Amino acid sequence: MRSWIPLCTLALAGALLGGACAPSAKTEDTTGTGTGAVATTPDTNLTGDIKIDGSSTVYPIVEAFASKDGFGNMAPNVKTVVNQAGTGAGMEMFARGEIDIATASRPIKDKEIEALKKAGIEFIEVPIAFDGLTVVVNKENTWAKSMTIDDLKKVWHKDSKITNWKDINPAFPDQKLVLCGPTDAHGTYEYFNETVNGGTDQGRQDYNQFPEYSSMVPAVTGDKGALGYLGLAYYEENKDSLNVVAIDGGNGPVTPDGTTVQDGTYSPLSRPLLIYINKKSLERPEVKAFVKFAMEGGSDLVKDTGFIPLPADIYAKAWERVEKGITGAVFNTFKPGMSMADALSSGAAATATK
Amino acid sequence: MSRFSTPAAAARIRQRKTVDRVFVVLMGIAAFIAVSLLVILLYRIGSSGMRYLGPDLINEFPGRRATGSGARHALFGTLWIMSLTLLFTVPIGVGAAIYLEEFNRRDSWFKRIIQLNIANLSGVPSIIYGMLGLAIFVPFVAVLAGDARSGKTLLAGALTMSLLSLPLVIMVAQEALKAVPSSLRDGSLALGATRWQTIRRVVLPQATPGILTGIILAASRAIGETAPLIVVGAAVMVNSVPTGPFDSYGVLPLQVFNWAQRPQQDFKDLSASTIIVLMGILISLNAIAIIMRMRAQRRA
Repeated sequence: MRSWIPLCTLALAGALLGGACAPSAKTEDTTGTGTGAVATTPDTNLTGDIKIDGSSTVYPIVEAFASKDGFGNMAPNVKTVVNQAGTGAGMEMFARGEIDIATASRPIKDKEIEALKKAGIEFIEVPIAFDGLTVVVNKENTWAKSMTIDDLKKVWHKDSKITNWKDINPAFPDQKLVLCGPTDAHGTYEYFNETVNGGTDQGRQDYNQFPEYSSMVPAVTGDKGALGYLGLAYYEENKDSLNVVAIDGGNGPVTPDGTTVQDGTYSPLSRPLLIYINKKSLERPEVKAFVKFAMEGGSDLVKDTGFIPLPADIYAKAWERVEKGITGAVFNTFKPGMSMADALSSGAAATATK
Repeated sequence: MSRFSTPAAAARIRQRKTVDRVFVVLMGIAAFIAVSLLVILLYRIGSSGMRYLGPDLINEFPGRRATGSGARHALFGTLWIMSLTLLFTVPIGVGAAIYLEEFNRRDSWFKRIIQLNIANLSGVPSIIYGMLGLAIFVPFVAVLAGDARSGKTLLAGALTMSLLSLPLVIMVAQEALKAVPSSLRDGSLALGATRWQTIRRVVLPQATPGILTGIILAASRAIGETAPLIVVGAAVMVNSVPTGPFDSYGVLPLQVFNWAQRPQQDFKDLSASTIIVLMGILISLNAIAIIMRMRAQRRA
């Protein structure tokens, strides 16, 4: 008499699985997937596996590189494993020799360099993309069209007591200020506080902390007095519901977009995203091919994931570093606003003179 | 007779009936809330998940766009984890249950300690098992494979999951063995069969449906758990299907999480589609468990 229970569950399960197998009516065209990726004939001779871990900010980029739209198509027999444990955790695994490439949303720290030295691991550092930290406000916010870095520091510094927009700038209206930002687990948090407040531990703590950007966007759209910051990709995805604040880094207000971030005029809130390659792993042809792909054919994939590709000459300079096997970090002394080409060449020169 | 006809008694009866009706309504509301939450959840997943529910989802690997992306690596990773977990759990779990129920039937202090431990273990938060796996199994597998890069692979994940589902298997198997009437055992022993013969030919066949139910429940737990696997190194993105126990792997719940936190709405919908696949597997496993239990009940 109760035999309908298993029947129903089976029917439901069948429907669910059957749905997965049935051809779906997709409205989008699938032809778009092929555009942009480098047209290279698949190299089936490349085998082995590449292990990558680190920053969750960089993750979508490297995932796209590894996917069938990128390197995966070029070298179908190479197994690429990508994870997102976080920049710091990735560096630890890198030092234990568990991974071939560590991704980072901030330059390597001195103590991490120390750990690698102790483990006898030599690494090559290359940038793969730009990210522009974007300051956003509510759609109804008509006053904060632009802010200076000092304005931001006034709000976000740990000693700040500001709770009203009119205290930032007398021209702003009397509106309660609601601060939104990522938690301190994010590389974005570290980079913002380093650039704006002068240290990762100098940031204000009494703000609405979000572990994910996707939950932060509704918080900003829902409050007229909201002020927050996030990666450019997240702003671009939510352009219709957020207003962007132009940042005045000393040379007049600039809004972040592909051009201003790439040419360095959106300063100082643009940051390079980096990868660190184990020099020993680089001896394996599949690892080298992967890095080559990232440097030569990756820019469309970077754009697709909502980040900003580096200028072609920077990619060329970075690939040169890889080919010459120039180890060591240069971006740990890199300051926002500095020329990346100079940074890459200076490191090369330093090693060459050694 | 007269006791029931007084006005006071009639009022009391009316009052009791009112209370009765109020409670029926309250319980009905409680049931409605529980079911409607489930329906809302299913509706939301269904409505956003239908868009990408197609053959691509199980045939393709993740790509840069939601269209044409699939979770093939995660689907196979999940199946691998499940199979390896069962491979480790079933012999150990059933063996432990048989020992505790059949060979050690007296209520000794030794048995009580083991029993208490198993009960406690089943209540340990799963992330703790993940930490244990990271401390023990990951280095162990790395040594076994002879490569520091191979520690966080299928074998380490499956061993961790086995530890996690073992208490469940043992306890359910014990219940199943307990349910076998002791007259059957006594009869078999009286005919001159040894203890092992009795267990193998009389007790186990009787208890099989119950034991299988426990195994399937353990399997569905191994599929649904994510936290310990993240700790022992399940990868978010692998561009191939695992081919052996020393391969890197992804699992479906992790892929769901990965896509759900993307900024693009397309990937969020894709995540919902993946949830449907995961639910499909889980519900079919549970359906099998229900069928087995009912067949066992009918036979009994």
